Amino acid sequence: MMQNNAGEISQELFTHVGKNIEQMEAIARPSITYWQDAWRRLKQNKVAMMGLIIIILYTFMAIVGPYMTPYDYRTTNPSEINQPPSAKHWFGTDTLGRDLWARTWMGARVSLMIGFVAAFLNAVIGVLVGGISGYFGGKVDMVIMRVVDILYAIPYMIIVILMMVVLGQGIMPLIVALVVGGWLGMARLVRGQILQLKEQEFVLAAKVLGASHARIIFRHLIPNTLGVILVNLTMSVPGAIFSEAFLSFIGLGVVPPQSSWGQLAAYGAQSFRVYPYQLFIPAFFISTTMLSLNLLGDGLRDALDPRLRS
Amino acid sequence: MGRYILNRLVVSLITAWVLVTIVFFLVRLLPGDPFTSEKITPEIKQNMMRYYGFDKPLHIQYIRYISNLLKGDLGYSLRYQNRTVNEVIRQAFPYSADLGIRAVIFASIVGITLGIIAALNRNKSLDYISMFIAIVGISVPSFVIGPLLQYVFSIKLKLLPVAQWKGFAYTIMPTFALSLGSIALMARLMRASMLDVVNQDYIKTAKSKGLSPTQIVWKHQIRNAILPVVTVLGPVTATLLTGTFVVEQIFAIPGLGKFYIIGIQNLDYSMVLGMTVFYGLFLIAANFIVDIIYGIIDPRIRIAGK
Amino acid sequence: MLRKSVSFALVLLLVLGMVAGCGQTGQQQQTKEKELVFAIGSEVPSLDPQKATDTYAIMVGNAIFEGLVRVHDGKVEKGMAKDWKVSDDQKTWTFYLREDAKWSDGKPVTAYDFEYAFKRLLDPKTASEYAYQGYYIVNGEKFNKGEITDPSQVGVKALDDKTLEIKLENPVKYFESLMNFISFMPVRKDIVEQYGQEFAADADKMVYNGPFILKEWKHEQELILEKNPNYWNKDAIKLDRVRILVVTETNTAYQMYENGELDFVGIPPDFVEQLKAEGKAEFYYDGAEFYLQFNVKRPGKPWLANENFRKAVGFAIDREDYIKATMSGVSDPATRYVLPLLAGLEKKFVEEYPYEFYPKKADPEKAKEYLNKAMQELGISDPSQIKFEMLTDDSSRAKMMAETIQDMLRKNLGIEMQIKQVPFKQRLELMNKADYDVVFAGWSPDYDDPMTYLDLWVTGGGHNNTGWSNKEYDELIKFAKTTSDYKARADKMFEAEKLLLEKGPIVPVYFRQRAWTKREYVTGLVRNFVGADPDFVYADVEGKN
Repeated sequence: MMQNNAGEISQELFTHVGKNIEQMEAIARPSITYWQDAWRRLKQNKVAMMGLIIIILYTFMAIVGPYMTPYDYRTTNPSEINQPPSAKHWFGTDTLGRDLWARTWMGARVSLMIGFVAAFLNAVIGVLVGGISGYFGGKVDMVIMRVVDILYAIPYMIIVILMMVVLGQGIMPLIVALVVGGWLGMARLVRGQILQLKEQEFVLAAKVLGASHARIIFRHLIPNTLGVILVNLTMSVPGAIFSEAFLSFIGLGVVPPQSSWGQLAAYGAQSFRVYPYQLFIPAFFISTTMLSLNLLGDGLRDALDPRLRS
Repeated sequence: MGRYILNRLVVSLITAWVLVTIVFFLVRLLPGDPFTSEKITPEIKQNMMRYYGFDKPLHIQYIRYISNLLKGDLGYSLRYQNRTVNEVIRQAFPYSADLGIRAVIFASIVGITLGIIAALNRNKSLDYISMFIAIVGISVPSFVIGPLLQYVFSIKLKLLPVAQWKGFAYTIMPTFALSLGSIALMARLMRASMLDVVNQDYIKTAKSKGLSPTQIVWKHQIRNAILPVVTVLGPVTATLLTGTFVVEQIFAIPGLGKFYIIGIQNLDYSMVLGMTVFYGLFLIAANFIVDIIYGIIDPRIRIAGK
Repeated sequence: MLRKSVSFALVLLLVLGMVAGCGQTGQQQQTKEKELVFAIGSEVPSLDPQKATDTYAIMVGNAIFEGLVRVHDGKVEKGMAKDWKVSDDQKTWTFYLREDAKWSDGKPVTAYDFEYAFKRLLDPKTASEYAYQGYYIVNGEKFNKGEITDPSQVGVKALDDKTLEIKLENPVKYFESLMNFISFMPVRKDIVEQYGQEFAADADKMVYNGPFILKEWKHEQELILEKNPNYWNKDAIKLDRVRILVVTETNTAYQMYENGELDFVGIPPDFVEQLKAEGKAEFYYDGAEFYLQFNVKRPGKPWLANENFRKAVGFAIDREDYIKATMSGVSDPATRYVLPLLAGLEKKFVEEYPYEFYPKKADPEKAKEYLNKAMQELGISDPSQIKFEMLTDDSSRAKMMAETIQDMLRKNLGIEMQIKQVPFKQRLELMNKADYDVVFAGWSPDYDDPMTYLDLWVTGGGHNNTGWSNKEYDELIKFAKTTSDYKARADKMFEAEKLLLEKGPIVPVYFRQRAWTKREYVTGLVRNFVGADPDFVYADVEGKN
């Protein structure tokens, strides 16, 4: 239509409509929210649902598991050390004769909590910082990324020991320690993605329509890089679980005799040739948690993908 | 571009200086001192403090350190008393770099390939196999995979030497153990990125132009999707090349990795600082290169700014 | 396609592995000389005799240097000195060096080398961590602390090329064997001055006077020792070469041993049972003793100052179960304070003065008894009011050990002990500042005499950060340190030990042992609890290969 009148565009043809957020992306469908829609599509994805069910199951077991056996997770028993799994001790016992079923599920409390909370916080901070850095570019980007470089290069152990001195022992200092070094990778990743995406036409379109910076970043750029974000988020969970073991050993994390999957695996790794079950049981739970998270992550990505909405 | 590179070089130097300064003071905040040991007495400790100039005010020490650093002198180690940090790096870095380069190359090739295979076979069995490998890779840390490899390939099968670094056969297990985590991350990132890209407008354009699927995958999809992998490659390369503690420990490789840990454990100030400077320069350079590669992969990216 | 490439990679791996395997065996057949190969846990930080402090340096130093005497298997033998005598007051020693004592570059070893070395140890400018080993020498401590600056006032003097005179502040019963300690190995002034700070940094930056020379030092990788052709007693040395590999992980070292790459190795805890059953495990004390150390001046925690409370803890610990659970049964319950290997007058100290204060198993009744007594004295009615934190190291094993004690106190006393893990340096720092409740600490002997443990707890002692002070104890130690009547000395030390167990700030837990295994052809290897461990100087590998 326009082409036909090429060269004859006059001012009168245009009227200023002003900024109208509602109409900018008016939804011309029965009103079901973004999240309802995502949930509807997630439910259809059987593989993803399986992942979700396993995670819920593990969480449930973390709550009730330790009470399903008569054995206390911290009571040592010199006459029953290093027993393989049996009807009495379902997951066997450790070197001190403690029941590993109870210890595994007590450990799940720590590991699942740490894994999820730390990964989530890392993602939030990383996406925010990376998004801002990539979107604004130039000097802002230069400063933010150099700060990230510096934080990356400061030996992690120094930060951790200083935190231990200042904050003491416990779950909160542990999460802080995991987050301090954890968000940097996500920030760099998101920033790289945004640098690439922001030059694309749909961003230009949004800008022309007068969308705010925040709106462009969070409604247009981040959703388009959600796949990468979710992958990085899920992949950072085992890192957090194993870091917890390291941090706890140097006195920052959970208080003995509490345990965690990471710590159980670290013990087990030392003696896997003699007592393989002491390694394989925690390793199994860490891996299957990871598997479930990845399946769920992939499902979520598909469900949240704005381009796949139907 | 030339101006950008020059600008960036200056910024890199400032970054390195800020890093050194922060770590110089942070490491002094750690409780204890380099000479605290089970058997030392306060008078003897004083002798040692004086010997290394730690009795002087901190700002004097700082100025002295920076001026030595500008001359490229990282000072004597406090633990390895008669060796300089420069000497330690000179001796240990080649081993770490050798192992690191192998691991980076291996991880990139395998990781990217797995990711592409997975994305092209989305939700089919190859996708799940690739995911499974990745998950095993990231859920099984090197302190588990290392001894496991040693047990299977050295003790049971008698194929490879258990440890040390004396020839190609010695490199296989450490390279594998070291790259496993990166393979997993790269494979998963590559897959996700490929899927993000597949619905972009330029792919649709390419399709409508009538390009063959193979052409689209190679010319557009992979090229645009590789960006996240390049991003993580920066820090990964810097880290792997400058040595990793666990793998070097398990396979008894005389690399740099242990010096970070031993340096901090012993509060070997000059060692910790030297390692930080060395690693920091590597990291800054790696991320610099990554930013330049961005522009090559996707010419629309203008890091140089507005 | 994927499956294909995976199988291809595996085949490649197999082929490469076989090629590598062949190369290895070929290399081994070439060597017909007698070679001993073993692994150590970390790089030797320094081989400068006056600066070295760690066990590996002492072990290597024992082979490449030789002091005035040589201690082998606990007995003092002639070393660089062919003869020596001591004055009647036991304070002046004169050593006569052998004529054929030579450095590896052919120059003779002289008394001046020893004088230089001893003074170098004490010189504050050397900043030697082990300078205190020389405090027995007249004016040694004053010189080291800068109270006197003239080195000629220090009581060590070369009377001529081959005669060395040493004057001591007090009689020292173990002085002879002390002369085998690394800090007292001779060094050459010209070489030290030539290399300055880098003296002994590499194999070619030092000279040797021991049975072996350091041929090659690949830092963090391996040390290669070869027989020293200039050594006076070279006919007694059977090994041509010793290769000491640096392998940090005990499991890796053990797998290398299984693979035939090492001649002897420490056994990781989990393999002990299996090797014990096969009759292949051997055990030795490494000298370290571990104990709970109480901070008796801790504000707000008066029970830590109560000796009955400390004994309650001591009787509540089941030492046998503890060792079984945390160390696969390797180590000995510490039923008293003095390590069972330390020398007495003729035999071991513990044989001459037998004593058992704590039982091997826990004694919950006695523990409760002491606890009730303590609670009465403190005016406490419920044990759950008693709270304290145990400080320990940052390894997974340390955690396990702490948890065991925690559980024993919970079961036997009803007390909930907290555990605080910190890195090693931080633990020492907290101990130095007396900022702890109870710490799980250890000590290794400096010399073969109970005094090395007993003098820790005197008032004002450099390592006594418990706040515990007992006049009677101080008197006993002071007497034992100055007398030349060695029988009375031993009696007083025994009294001090009993007093310490009854009232002192520590509760002994275990004497550490190590499990190790060796190939059958390895003979003459000595494991020591003090000094060089292992001592391979007279070892042989006849029949290897």
